[in-house]
Amino acid sequence: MDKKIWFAILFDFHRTKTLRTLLVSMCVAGVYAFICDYLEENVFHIDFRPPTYIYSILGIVLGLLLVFRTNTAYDRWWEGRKLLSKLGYNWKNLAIKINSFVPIDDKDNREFFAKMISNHAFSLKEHLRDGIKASELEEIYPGFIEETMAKKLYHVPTYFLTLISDRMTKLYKDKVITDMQFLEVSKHIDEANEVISSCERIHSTPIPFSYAIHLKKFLFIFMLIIPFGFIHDLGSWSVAIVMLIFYAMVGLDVIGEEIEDPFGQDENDLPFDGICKSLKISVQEILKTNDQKLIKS
Amino acid sequence: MAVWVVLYGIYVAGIIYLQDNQFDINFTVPYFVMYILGYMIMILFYFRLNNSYYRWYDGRKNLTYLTANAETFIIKINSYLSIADVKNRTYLHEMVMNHIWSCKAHLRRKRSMNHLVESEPGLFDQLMKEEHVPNKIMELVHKRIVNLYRNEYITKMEYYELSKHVEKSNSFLDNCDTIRTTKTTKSYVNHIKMFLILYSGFLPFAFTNDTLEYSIVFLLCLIFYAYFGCEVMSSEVENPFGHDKNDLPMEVICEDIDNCLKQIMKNG
Repeated sequence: MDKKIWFAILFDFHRTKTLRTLLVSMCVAGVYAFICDYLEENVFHIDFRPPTYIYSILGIVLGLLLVFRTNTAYDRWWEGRKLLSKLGYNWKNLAIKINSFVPIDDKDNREFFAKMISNHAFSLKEHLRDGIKASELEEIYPGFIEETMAKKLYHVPTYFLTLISDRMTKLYKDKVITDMQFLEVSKHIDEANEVISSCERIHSTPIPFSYAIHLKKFLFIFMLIIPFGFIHDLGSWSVAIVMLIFYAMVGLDVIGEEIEDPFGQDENDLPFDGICKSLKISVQEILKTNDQKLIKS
Repeated sequence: MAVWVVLYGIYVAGIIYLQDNQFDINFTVPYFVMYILGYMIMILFYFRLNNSYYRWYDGRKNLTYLTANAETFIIKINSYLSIADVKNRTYLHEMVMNHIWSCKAHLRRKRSMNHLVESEPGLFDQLMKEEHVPNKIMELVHKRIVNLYRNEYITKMEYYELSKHVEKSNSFLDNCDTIRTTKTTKSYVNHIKMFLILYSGFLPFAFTNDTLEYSIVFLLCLIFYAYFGCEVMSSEVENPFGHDKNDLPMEVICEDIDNCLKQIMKNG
């Protein structure tokens, strides 16, 4: 947030997403506190006053669980980001090598690699979201996309990777590239496949069930008993305090859940579209497929 | 776990009862002591939770690498061998998939030929004799690759590429095996457990000064539940290759890779 005035975030309500998602639940917590206060004062008089320091001790436990939650979720998000940059540099390196190995007038192979690399990146992106978008893919030959879509593939990125590998082997068998060059380019298949699998892993593996549920249970009970710490002293004002505590604590859990799978389209998610687009442009640039002078000659 | 929490509740209630009715023990732990110990125990548990989680995640990562490696291997087989060579293609495809299924059985300490395909006659008898089934399968795969190379089905470089994957698959399986066989350092775990027992044992005495109510039993149980739950979860997650709800979905992972391999071979 590079605002000149630090407080500006207060007026950025439309961007503080956590606050928006939590608003209703916060109100529920506030209403709960109000009801507790009302019943205690007017109906029951249970006089349940836990000593204040027991809340501090409970707070320590809650802090432990929350920091663990935040850490693991952020770790995944960051791992996702690192994987995407790995995807980028891996493919750019391949493009650089292909550019050096393949003669400059071999337009067919150059275009194949440029298009396939961008197809692979875009299909990985959509594979992690809701399904392949044909509009983002590029035609290798007329009718290529339709053919691919018609195959009803289980895993499209792997299919594109297979095609890339096939083409490399063909170049090698046709003696366009040498032994050593073949070894060099094959390496990038391994890395690309590792990135696909790792991204899928982050996308499909939630944190262990009992970790997630333990925090939620504890947080829920904590929110149930927190009003009794101060309703006797503060009366209706405790509503505001309960809402504040609720925002701070449940907010962290909500953020954790949100960033755990970083491949969506939320504001907090990774800029996957941008990464794919910039990869596409760099690869085209490296392989000079858009160079007008070369196309004419 | 619920039993232990109830037992702890009874313990706390017993202390309060004795304090109120039988004798005045007059022993109060100052509450800041409980704070200090609380922070310490929090740090220890943070270590414990993190440790066991990352062990679990490491297991997941290595399983990913194992399957990704198999996938790459098959992609390369598909590119290197001509489509006409059905015999070798199916053999290697089946054997690589056999390797994945046998890794699953191996990590669950079972010796089952479930899901495996008998790609050469007498394969199962041969495997049943082995102590380490995945190793034997990889050995056979490697033998076949060497054969292909000698008979000039694949070139020197292609041989080199393929044999790299055999190597890798062994190292990833071994990483998983390490996680399965190595327990967390005993002395840490015992220390943390002992600390937790003593801490929660002394906890009720921090409140003997107040007008004690039985309602506090509930709150102390909650604290005990939170810490004890962390401990139970950690020890559950430590070995991620079992059948628990918390363990890795190995069945799903294996089926997913099976589908991927079939697709690669079909569309080559």
